[in-house]
Amino acid sequence: MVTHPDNTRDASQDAPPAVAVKGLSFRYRALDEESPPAKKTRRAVPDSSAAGAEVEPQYAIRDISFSLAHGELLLIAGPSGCGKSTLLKCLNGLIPHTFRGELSGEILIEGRSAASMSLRERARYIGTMLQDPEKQIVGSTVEQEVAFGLENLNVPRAEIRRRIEAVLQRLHLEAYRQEATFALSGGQRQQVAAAGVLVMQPSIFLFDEPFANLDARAIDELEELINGLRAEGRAVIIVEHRVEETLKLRPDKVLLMRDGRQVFLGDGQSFLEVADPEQVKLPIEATLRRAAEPRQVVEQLVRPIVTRRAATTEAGTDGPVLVFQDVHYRYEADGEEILHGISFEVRRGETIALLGPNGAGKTTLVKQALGLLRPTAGAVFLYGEDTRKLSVAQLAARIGYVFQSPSAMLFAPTVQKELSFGPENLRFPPERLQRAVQRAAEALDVARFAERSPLSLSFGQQKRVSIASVLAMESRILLLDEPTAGQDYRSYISFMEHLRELPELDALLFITHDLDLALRYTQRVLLLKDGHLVADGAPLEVLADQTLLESCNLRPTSLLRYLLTEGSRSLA
Amino acid sequence: MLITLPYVKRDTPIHRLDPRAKLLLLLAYGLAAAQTSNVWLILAGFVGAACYYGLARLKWSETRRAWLFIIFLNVILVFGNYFLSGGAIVQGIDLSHQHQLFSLPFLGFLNHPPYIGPKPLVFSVESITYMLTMGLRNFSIAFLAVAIPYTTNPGHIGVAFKQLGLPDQFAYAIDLSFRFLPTLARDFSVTLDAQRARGFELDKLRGGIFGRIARLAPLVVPIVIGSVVGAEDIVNAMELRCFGVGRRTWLTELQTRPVDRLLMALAMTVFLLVTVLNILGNFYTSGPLHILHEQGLPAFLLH
Repeated sequence: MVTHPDNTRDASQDAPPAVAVKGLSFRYRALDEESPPAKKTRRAVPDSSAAGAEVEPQYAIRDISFSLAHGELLLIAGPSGCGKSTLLKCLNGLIPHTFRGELSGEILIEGRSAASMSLRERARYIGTMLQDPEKQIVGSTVEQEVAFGLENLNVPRAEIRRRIEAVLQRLHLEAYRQEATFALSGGQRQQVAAAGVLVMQPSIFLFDEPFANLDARAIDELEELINGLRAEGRAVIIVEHRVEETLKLRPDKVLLMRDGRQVFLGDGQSFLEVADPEQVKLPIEATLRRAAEPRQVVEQLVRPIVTRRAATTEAGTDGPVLVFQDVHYRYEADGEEILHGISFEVRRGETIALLGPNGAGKTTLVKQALGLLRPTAGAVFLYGEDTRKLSVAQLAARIGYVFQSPSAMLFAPTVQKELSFGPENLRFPPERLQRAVQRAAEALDVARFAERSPLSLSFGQQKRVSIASVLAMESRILLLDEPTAGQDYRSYISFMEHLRELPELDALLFITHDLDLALRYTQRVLLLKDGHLVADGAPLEVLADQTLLESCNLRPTSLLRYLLTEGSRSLA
Repeated sequence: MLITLPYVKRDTPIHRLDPRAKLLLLLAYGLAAAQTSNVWLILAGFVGAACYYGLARLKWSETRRAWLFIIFLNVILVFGNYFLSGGAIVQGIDLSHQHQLFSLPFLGFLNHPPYIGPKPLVFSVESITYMLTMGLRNFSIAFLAVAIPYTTNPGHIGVAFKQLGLPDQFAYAIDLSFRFLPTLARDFSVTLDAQRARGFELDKLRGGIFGRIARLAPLVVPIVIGSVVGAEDIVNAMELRCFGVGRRTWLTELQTRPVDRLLMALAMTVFLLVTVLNILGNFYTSGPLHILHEQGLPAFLLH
């Protein structure tokens, strides 16, 4: 017999809050504390006890308290490393179940102490959506993914079928029931992952950075889901540094964390008044309201990058640096065509954003420039030379391409060696190599951890190392795939500012989902949809077209709306 | 999330077979084929396996990668085995009176120090036939094995093992590991591309054999680290949905049809028969009961 806290809506007024957290602190156990104390005394190494005793591990979270009623939405905001994820793990039980450490304070779930609950019991109350649905999905088909939790709880087959049916219907996923999960698009994955949690009917939902990497349609669907959950009386907790998106959901409470402590707890409105626009991304209105000189703020925000070399050499004296000429591409001879005749030119000094919905062919397009994929028809010219005649390594010397995920490429024992890898492959003479590595390290501000292992760095730092290691090859054109994904607002802004200062670059092109990034940093936008180039022009020109945006799953941001109204006002 | 095997949805007799029957057939045939080097028996097995594979109606374009890999592996195995052993290691067959055709100077194992030294590599009717037999055997097993991922709904793998009698957690682990390989392949291609974009050229590695292996670090390290981290994520995701807390239901339930049961019975019978024959063959030096221990070469080849 399976019971579940269904119909939470009926909870009477004096029912306990869905979640109450009182004075919660946690610190991860340091490695040498793992071994049982008995072993410690026997250790023969003389100075280990001396060294081990003193450094107390830092608290990951310290003294967190809040409570949340049924049907309420809590936003937990804060920069990377502020303890958001640790707090989430404390709530869903991975701490202390999987991650060991020192936990103090109290968590009450539906009025019951969580400390006495097993993971299984907790899962009946709390459903967790991990940051990356890719990591959450374990079933090989949609049906199996949704069934997984109920199967584990030994629910009878007929009951599982009934509940799957209901959930799939509710999320409009019936048509995908037998689809393989890996073949789904990003937005569908999120929905399927949500279905897998929803089917267990938890009364509290945790979302870990749900908006990262979704296009606008997927965000709309997710918002609809979250609003639906609240309407049913479920409590929702969202951890997110994309504050702007979450504030649209009108959270009842916002908890702001910094260095493991809670620095603010209150409603959305008062949050906007205290939040620092340098730390978290706020709606533009909130930023402007707080500024003395709104116009200046906008000018500060919107400053397209002009790559350096354009300033020194005279722009327009010679031909385009990169030309796509009617590029068609299909993966297999009898497969579907992915790119249908793409043509554009990149000129010296340009900074370009390549926008488009998930699956439009953006990465496929960029890979053509480097020869990682070769056009099935048409051609790509790099500095006037046909790329078909050049090997990938030869092309890599002229055009740098940084993959989206740094973990796909970082391997060396130290950052220094990581940076030298590319130049070594290109057989740079020692002097040039040293100079190139040093410059790249300085340009991306990674010189201070030159001797550390790149694998020990934070995600944002790894991202910078990965770009520096491509930059060290002294290529004149840089292609970046989602340069800001997975970084918090402050680190991605500082990162973009680093890019602005890069020396000796002819052109910069990046793939992104983030409209504000395109607006603030580029001179030109290429809009790709279903393998066609549907727009090419100045950011504000291209993005002013509402219907075009909608058809490409792009959603106007507050900054875009503001700039457009400002623009029309100044015209008037 | 793990990528599933390259399942090709189609309606053929092999697609309709219960995955348990396919798995059992592979296992039984593999164990039976390992017990003999009789060229006729292996040839019969090869023809049977090829027919079975033909029934699955898989196209070359769909299975090309798998086959290229298998052909490569098989060539290495067969020739490697031949050169290492000088064709002298033949399962259960007396090679003391070989019909030698010619020999090449080569290295071989000696029975005195330094144990490896110059030794003629013998080419005889027996050893060449054995080389062929080995190739046929490997390919016949490959026919049965390759058919499985391409014709089995990936969602049925775990439950097949469960219904073969494995505990819940084992069965699910097998399900996951079946999906591990294709996922690894994808990660590999991403990392290879990322490193090629940094001027790394796989076909131009310098240095001796160890130097070359060391130079593979840019590929190996990200993939290994990625797999370890990925495994941790999977474990967390599974635990958050109560995996492993007790008995679990499997939503899918496989049901055998008469043809599945027939195939399973046949596979088991062949395996048992071959095993019994193999044992009996040790007691008889000729005649039908000794058949597994003979190469079965026709007399005209030996003159």
